[in-house]
Amino acid sequence: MPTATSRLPPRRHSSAVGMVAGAKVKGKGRLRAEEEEGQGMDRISGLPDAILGDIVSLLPAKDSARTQVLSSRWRCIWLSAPLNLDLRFHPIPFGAVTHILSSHPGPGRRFSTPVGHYCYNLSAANLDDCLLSPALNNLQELSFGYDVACDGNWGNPPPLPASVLRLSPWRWNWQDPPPLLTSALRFSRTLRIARFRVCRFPDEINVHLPLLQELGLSKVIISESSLQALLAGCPALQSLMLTDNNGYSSVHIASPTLRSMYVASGSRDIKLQRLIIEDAPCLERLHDRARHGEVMKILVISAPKLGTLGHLDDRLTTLQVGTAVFQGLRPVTMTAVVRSVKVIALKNTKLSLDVILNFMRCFPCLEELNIRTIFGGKKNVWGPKYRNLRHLKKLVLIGYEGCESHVNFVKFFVLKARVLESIRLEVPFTYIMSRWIGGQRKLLQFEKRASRSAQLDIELVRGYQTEALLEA
Amino acid sequence: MASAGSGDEKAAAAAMITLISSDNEKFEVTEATATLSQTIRHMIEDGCTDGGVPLPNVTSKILARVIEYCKKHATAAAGEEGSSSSFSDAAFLEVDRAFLEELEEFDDAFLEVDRATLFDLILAANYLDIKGLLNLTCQKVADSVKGKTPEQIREMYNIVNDLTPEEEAEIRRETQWAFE
Repeated sequence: MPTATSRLPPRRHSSAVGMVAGAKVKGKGRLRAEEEEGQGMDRISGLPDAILGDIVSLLPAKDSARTQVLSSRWRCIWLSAPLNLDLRFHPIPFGAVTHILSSHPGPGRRFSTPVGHYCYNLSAANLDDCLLSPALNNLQELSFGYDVACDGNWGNPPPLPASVLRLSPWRWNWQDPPPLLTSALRFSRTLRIARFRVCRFPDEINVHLPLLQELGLSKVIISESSLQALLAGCPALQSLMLTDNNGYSSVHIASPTLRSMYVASGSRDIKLQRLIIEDAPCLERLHDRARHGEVMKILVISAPKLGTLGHLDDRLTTLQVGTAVFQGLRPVTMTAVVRSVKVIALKNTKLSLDVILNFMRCFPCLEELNIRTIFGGKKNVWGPKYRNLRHLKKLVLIGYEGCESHVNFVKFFVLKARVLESIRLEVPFTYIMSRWIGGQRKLLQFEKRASRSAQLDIELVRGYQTEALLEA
Repeated sequence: MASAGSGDEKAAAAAMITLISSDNEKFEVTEATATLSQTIRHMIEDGCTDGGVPLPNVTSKILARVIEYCKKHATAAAGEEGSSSSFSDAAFLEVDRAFLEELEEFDDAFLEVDRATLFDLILAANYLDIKGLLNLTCQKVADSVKGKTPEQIREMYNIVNDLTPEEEAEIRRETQWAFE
């Protein structure tokens, strides 16, 4: 993951002349300084200005401004350090926001728009003013969204004041959010991290984000051509998250830098149906979260480093990696294999050992398998013709109920996986006798395990969620 | 990830760099490890590393820790690394969770040091220009003062308040919102 700070070459000089002694001592002197540390040395104030500035700009707004009062050494640090105004996780009243933006000279390190009642007195014009403030010049991290609109969908929020209602078409409906403010795009040259939530992108977008490493779009409306133009404008992108957006049915990825990707389709007419990885030489992790009843086609043409793949749904995902093609978990081509993949997360509604083994055959280097199941399915009886597993190190089964089908399934891995390091079974019951767990160990014949060093971990999962994200 | 990392290390095994601490101790590291430091990377690019790289600002005790960090992060991922920002979306973290968990565990354990060592690490990371390590150590300090009153911070770090009561009152008045 990228670090958030842009940093100039090493700053060895402190402008704090006559700083507290101790920071520069070496050798034996340093040892003495360490001894003195416990006896009242002030080493923090001896750090160079730029580092104190870093520390201050990592703090929430209130904490960072309060450091001015520590001592004369600290008085000017906050105003000379990049501004961190994260109103999403550390909200402050809007009056304070305008005060900060008018008194801080910038540059901006981080700005995120508020959620919840803190933005009730914030209109789009207010937000625009914030974004245009010189205090945010050269901003590196931006999180922008009209999240307050979301609240209407899930809760029963207090009525919004008139200033917000001026934007009211989206008040109860995040599926039709207001447009992204163009002022949010003024940071394009300096942004390293950008998250956009609950807003509508313009149809013709032409933006170049040369430093952007992380991009997230969540519940936004963006056309396919705008999305492609946006992606094309991010030559340094490493992480991409596209969740619950609307307006495009397919995404094409061709990126020499992308390392991880997370997608989930939206919920309206035009939603993501096809993901095509055309050329992603650095892509290591690809996660798809298909929702109930949504068919997703994933086509990976070239991603030689793809090591982690999830969350394949047995009924809903059509997957092609190179020449290997799968309908759900069933291989369509029997000979093609994918060697790069080491970790897979999948859903097998009716747990079937044959389906899983057949699927695993196409991933000969698989080391970790994470399965979510709901029903017992077949009895999963297996016999001597079933071969040993040579690479699997970790098995996670979410939804284990201890029925015959599940026991036989897991028993296969206990007795046949020779390099297995751990099995983790998540049980969807909130209350179970400890005797039951002991009984399961016996049923699974864990004492006869093929890998002596393997661990078995049976865990009761309270508030079991079938659609929870994968654990891989 | 680990296997990919060891592959990288094998590839870089031929190029070893010697680092020399202020107390004259020599450390031999791979180029991949050493170049997490932009300072050393530039020296390698300029061809000034024959006979070792003297680091007069870093003691052997601290250099050993710095190398430990660089080794781990060089094998864990190429390129930029290690930002633990409070800015993250939970869902986004999920993507890299497994990948980051191990690194985070390492970082947490790595940061279990006394305050003097923490400040030495910050200065070394700054001098050697190791972004991830500097960010990590500064975050540790930031976390330690988060939510604390100025009085508590002064006590914690032995900061002597040399502001006159009038000056302090003025700052408090100017940034009243921060003290509410």
